[in-house]
Order: sequence, then C-alpha cells, then structure tokens
Amino acid sequence: MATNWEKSLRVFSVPKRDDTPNEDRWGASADGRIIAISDGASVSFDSATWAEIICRRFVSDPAITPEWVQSAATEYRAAYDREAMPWMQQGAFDRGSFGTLLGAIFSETCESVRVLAVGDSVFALFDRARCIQVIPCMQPADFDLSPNLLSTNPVENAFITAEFIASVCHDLSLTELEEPHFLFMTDALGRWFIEGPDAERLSALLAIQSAEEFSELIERERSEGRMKRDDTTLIVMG
Amino acid sequence: MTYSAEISRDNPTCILFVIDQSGSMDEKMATNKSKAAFVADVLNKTIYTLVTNCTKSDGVRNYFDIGVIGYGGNGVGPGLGGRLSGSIISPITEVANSPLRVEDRTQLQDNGAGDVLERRIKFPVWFDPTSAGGTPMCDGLKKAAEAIVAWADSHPNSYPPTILHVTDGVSTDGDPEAIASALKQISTNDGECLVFNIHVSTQQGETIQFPSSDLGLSDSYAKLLFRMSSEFPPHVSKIAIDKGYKLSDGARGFMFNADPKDIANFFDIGTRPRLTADR
Repeated sequence: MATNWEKSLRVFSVPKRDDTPNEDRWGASADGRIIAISDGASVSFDSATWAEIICRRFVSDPAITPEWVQSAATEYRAAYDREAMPWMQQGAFDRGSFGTLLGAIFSETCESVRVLAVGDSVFALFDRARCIQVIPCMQPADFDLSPNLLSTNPVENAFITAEFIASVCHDLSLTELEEPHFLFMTDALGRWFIEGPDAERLSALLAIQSAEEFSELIERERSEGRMKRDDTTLIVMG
Repeated sequence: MTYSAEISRDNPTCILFVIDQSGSMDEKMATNKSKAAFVADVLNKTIYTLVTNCTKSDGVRNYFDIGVIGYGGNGVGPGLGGRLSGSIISPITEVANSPLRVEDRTQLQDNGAGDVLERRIKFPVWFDPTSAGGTPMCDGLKKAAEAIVAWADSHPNSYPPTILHVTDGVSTDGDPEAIASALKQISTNDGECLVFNIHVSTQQGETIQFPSSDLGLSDSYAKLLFRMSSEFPPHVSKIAIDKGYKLSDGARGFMFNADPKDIANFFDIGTRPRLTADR
C-alpha cells in the first residue's frame, strides 16, 4: 500500500516554563517507520538524558524486552561518576530517573502499525475526523494517577516482564483507512485531547504548521485553565 | 479546587515538623531505640527524601520550605541547629547545604537481578534526639502558628503548609485545642493549613490509624488529638490507601498509639503534597 503520510512528520515541543529545560524527547527513523516519544518525569535525577536514551534506542531497536530496558539503564548510569557526587545528588541518582515510552513501528508496506505504550503519553489514530483508536485507553482522571514508567533504577523496573510488554503492545490494521492521521502526545496535551471535544481539538492540532502556532495554542489553553502546565510535545503524521 | 496548586520554585510549599522533646520521649520502643531517637531518625530520613526528590543533575530545586520546632524541658525553639538555628523555616536548598554532619553508612540494596549488594551511602543528620522535662505543647504550637502565619502571608498562591506534630503525651502548659484550631484556619488561596498529629507510644494497645470520627476513641486524649487534626485532601488519602491503610470518607491525619512502622508511614504520607502528579 503506497502512502505519502509517512513522509509528513511534524514535531512540536514547548517546555513547562521558559526558564526550565524541556524533559520531553522524541525520535524517528530516517524512513519514518519507527517513532518514539518519551516524557521524562520531574522527580528524577536527569530525566531528559534518560528520555533521550529511551527514544534513540527504540528507534534503532524497537524490540523491547526487560534486557533492553536494563541495557538502556546501564548506558545511563555509565554517563555519571556517582562517587564524585555530593550526597544529595548521590541520593537522587540512586533513586533513579523515570520516563514514559510511546513508540510506533509501521510495517514495511504501511498496512499495519504496532503501538507500544508505557506510561501516560497518548497515541491517537484518526481517519478523516473519525477516531479509530486512542492508546492507552484513559479517562481524564487517570492522568492524576502514578503511571508505570521506565526507570534507570533496576528495582523500579521489576514490573517489566515479557507479559507486561505484551500487554502494552497494540497492533492496528491500516488497510481500510482513507486519510489517516497519527498523533503522539505527552500527557498534558494527551489529557487535553481526551477531554475533548474530539473533532474541534483534532482540527486545532492538525492546523498547526509552525512552532509559533503550537506555542500560541498551548499558552492559550494553559492560561485559560484547560491544559496543565507541563512540558508538552506533539508529533503529527499524516 | 483546593489543594491543587502546582508546587514550583516560584510557589514552594511549606512542611513544618513540631516535635515533642519531653523527658518521656526517652522510653524505649520495641526496636530498642528510644522514641526520641526513632523519631529523629525518621525525621532525618524524611528530610533526606525531600531534598533528594528536589535534586537534579544541576542542583537542588527550591520546591519546599522546611522547618522544625522542638518543645520540651529546654523550652521551645528551632529544631534544626548549626547554620539553620536562626530561623524556624528555611528553603530546602539551605537545609540541603546545612546538615549538622554527614555520616558514612552502608546500606543493603537490591540490584534488581536477585542480588543484594552492600553500598556505601552518605546519611546527613539535621536533628539529634533530645528528651528532657515537661511538655509545653501549647507554646510549641503557638510558635508554629507564628511561623506559619508569616509564611502564608508571603506565599498566597502556594499549596498550603503541612504541619506534622509528633507527641507522646499530654500537654503540661494548657489545652492546645484552640491553638490547633487557629493553626488549621491559616490559609493560602489554595486552602487551609493541614495539621496532622501522631501520638507515639511504647504501650501495647490498639493503634488508631486515620479515623474519620472520634466515636470509636475511648481515650479522651485521643479524642482531643483527633479534633486537632485536619481531614486528608483526596490525594493524600490515596497515598495512605496505597500503603494499605483502610480509610473512610473524612479520614483525618491522626494516628494514636503508633508503632515504629506507622511512624515512618505517617511521615511519608504527610510529606507528599503534589510535586508533579506523584512522579
């Protein structure tokens, strides 16, 4: 199935505040078939670095296993000299860094996509204006709960088993779709999107063509109390 | 909606510990440590956790202002010593940089692969146990009220202050209920001050854990401490429920006859206001 939508990848991201670093990261393979987004958690030693490692590794090797996560965490820990840190940084380093992983792997023919969702970053598939699937399936109140997150601390990753990974993978067929759009959103935007209304908010996101337009939309929604102030990232494909 | 303000460097929140340092706090608990020593240890660990939760690779972020008041035979005053002894409440960056000392300890840690390894850690100490004399609880809570009024006035948009009061006995300087009521009415735009009370004990007996009414309390002192305690906001109730406590609607931040495990849980539950969606 020949499509052009996989070529049209648009990415927008704004930090929580102008004076704080953005801890969201994203990645995509050169052919656009593998996409990853990771939201680094605030209560972390260095969640930006962790989110970057997660995205880079997923794009180069999307076959997630418990060993994959362990290897990523080993790379993270090797970047620091724990013994040279003052006690408070040692404590924070030992506690770990945390991040979501929302990844998608399109088949070579683009007739299907596998979506993997660990945490509360949100994937949405629309065909024209019709919602086909939102992953993970969340109610707005669910965003107030503590999500499962990938961690640099091995003890915190005990829940990552082969069974868990299978449970967060979703295979979607794309063959019947006429004009699909794929959205990848970190949680503040994901919650805003799920709170709806669908068509209006989809239209607003698809209309964005520049970083300035994205920034204006996010700031307006934040200041009017409709969107939580947090690092906010959107990937649009299609 | 109350208790929903974002906790940030521009709008930190305040956590104030009010600690009974009366003579009876030297009684030994089942752990063979005195109540004073056990509470000091939990307090130091709690401050350590608060500091490390605010620490990133580029430094400590001022999400909290922290204070300790001690009351006992030596009077009432700031519970943190050294460079922090000049004020009741200090920004967490100052607290992080000013422990009394940093001890070297070893800790057994699970490496996630089924092995338990011994790891060297640094354990900062801010608060040393003291136990002497009577229980000037009213003076202690008045000192807390003075500090919290000033803090709330200068932080009108912050998540309201949380006060954790630890005691093992009855006040010897009057009835503290009116002062506790006044404390609970101090507020920011995000809600009223939260006052949580824990009674620590070496007695074997029924432990009361986060009740929603005083109907089941036979001890008049327990009823008093219950009335002095604030209701949990919903997200704090959830933390307590996740720890295995059974809570009804209207559950208050109050424990009576608490044992060592409950003391540690009380401190953890009471010092986790929203940081950012609990992550």
